[in-house]
Amino acid sequence: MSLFSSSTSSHKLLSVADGEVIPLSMVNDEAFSSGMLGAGFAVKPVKGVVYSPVDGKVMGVAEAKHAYSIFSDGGLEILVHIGLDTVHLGGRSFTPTVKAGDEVRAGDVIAHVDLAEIKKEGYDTVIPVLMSNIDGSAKLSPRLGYAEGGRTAVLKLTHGGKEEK
Amino acid sequence: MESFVYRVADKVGIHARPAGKIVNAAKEFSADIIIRKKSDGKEADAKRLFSVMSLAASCGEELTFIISGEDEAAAALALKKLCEEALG
Repeated sequence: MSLFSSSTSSHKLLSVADGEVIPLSMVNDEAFSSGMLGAGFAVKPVKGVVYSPVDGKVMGVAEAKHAYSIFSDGGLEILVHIGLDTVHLGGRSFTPTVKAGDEVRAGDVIAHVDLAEIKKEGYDTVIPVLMSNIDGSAKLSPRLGYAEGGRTAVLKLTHGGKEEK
Repeated sequence: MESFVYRVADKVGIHARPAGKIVNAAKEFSADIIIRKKSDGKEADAKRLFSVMSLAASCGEELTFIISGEDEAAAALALKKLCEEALG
């Protein structure tokens, strides 16, 4: 079965928040920066609204409400992980607007986040966006710099998961 | 077939980091590796992050690793070691 059998969707990922897009390798947590969890990018959010990067289906919301898995219509397994080690907040600071099983469109809000509270608790608010079924060693070049959440396209992939230049 | 039981010790459960460790270890082997969660019978493919994370295994949960394939003995040993040493 091809992961990228859809002939219509371009595998475009939008920024998940307003803020600066950085390479995954710049994330201050080896689990993400090493590519161990998959390839992708990260956003340093300036606003506490988090958007779905793709059209797809919400597969799960972590119990601590900080991580969202979305299966894209194009076959990508996407993990949006809000903040580093924020699992320890036990759900505080996060208000999901979706639940497992929901269909989402790219740009739909998936969560509201209290960035100030997360920072106050001593956690990094950076949001890694991973494609867990694309090898972390894949060299992707996301569009870096300021992006608008739910609007700016950060990555374009061809069918087959290769990057579209 | 090999199997072993692991009780989740991390107080926040199997979140992204431990799930990633399991997946990376599992990917080293050709054997099929299934993780079954005792409380609800849910199963995950240990080689897929998505799958392992959606188990939502919390602290104290009993997970059974079921491993079958040519290198099952080595895989069982490696994963058991990982669970006990790296996942706490």
